[in-house]
Amino acid sequence: MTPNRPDSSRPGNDNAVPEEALQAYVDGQLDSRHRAAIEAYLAGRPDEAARLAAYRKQNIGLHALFDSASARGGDGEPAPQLTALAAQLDAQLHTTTTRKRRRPVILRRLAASVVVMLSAGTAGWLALDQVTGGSDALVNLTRQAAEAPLQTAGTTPAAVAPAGERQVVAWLAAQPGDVPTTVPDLEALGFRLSGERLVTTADGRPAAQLLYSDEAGQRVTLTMRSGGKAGQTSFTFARDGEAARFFWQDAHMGYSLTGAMAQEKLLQIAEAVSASLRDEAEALPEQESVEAEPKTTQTPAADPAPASPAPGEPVPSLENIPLIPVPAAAADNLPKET
Amino acid sequence: MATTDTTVADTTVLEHIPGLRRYARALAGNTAEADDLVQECLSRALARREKAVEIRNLRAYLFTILHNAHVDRLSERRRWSYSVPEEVLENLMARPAPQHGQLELYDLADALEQLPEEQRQAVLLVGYEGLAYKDAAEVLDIPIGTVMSRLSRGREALRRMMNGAPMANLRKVQ
Repeated sequence: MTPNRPDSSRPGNDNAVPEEALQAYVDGQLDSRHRAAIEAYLAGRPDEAARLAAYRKQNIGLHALFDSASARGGDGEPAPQLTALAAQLDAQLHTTTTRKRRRPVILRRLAASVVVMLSAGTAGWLALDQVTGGSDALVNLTRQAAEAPLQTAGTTPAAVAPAGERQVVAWLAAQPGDVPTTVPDLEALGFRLSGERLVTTADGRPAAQLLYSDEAGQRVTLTMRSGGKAGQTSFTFARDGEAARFFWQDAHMGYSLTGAMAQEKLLQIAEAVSASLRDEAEALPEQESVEAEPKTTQTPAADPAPASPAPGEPVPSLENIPLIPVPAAAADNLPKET
Repeated sequence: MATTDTTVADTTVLEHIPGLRRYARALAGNTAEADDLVQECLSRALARREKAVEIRNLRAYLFTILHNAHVDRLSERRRWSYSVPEEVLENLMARPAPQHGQLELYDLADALEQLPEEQRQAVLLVGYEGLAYKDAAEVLDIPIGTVMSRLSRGREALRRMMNGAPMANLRKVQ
């Protein structure tokens, strides 16, 4: 019907970067090196940055539209015949095949708890289908993080220390570089710290995981990974099935926030995490914060995402994904919770 | 990339039901039909009698069957126009007052309805369901490059419509 050539008629796209890479940036399907390259490219091109920000807003808007329908539109439990068919299909798929692919024990346990969670009316968290090729440390981290909540949600919370032991705070103090000294406070959003533990990421770096939950039983897991080079990236969003994730890097720490909830909601929490950690950095003036200063080539957050909409433009509600949300100086541009 | 292809044995069909229903609802624009589609998808999958080892990615596999069921239905109809499900819009209206961006969401719903079916599919699979490009290519049975171009054309069309550009201007984009 229409030619499938990539269009060069994009406003502002001077073809220095292929359109595919820009789309992949929007979808969080780039590794951190390419992501940084795109952000550097966008820093000097506000039009392009705004265009991509609009695409991200579309993604968020789609979730705002359709996810909310599922909350009300009888989505709580699938019809029994669907569940029955699914079980039948599972049985058929897995007859005589178990020897060929041995699943790690932990995954089998996870799969079991998924069933438990589904029957409890909770969406599955498991996100084994990953975003990219899996070479990106940040992406790997989030994948691990996506699997982690299940372990704590399942029947064996043994590995998770109850909140209050403050082992993560002690761990933070031992980390090199510019890192936070306390864990984020999410009380304002109704989330309390309900568990914490220290882990090692797939690529062998030390990490800490914090489990927060609210009174309605929603949970988010924040994973902080130390031991990387300093850097800053914007929030990148990814979604696999029920699990939504944001990941970003600030100074010497990589962050990943995972939860089975609407993207909008999770973004709110991600911003609160980021703001909470930044507030803390500002409260410690003696702390060397060269890394946190936005003196890189990145443009201030206000640039690609103007804080005040031009007259006649749609309400910038979904504007909440600033392209560069991390720099300390941009804190005031982040939306405040109401 | 090879390491990413071994996930199927680790997921269950049951786990994908909410995602299938959600995507079907966005795709078909009708909740009752969406569940019908999911049911047909599962029935078709059962009829195939495939084994888990033969499936690279269970999620993409199920989405493919669902997508085919949807396309088959479309081809049986003379006329079909997509609309965002009623309850989605009702839901939007019923939101607590300070919900920012309600208007924008209405605009998005409008724009989505005007999007060509193929572009809408790409936008929903990638932008909404978060499928990797190669998985979206598998589901739609088209090359990745085609996924990318449908995606970028769809997104740009949505953006222009939401900015108030008349449809006529969109021809150039396509």
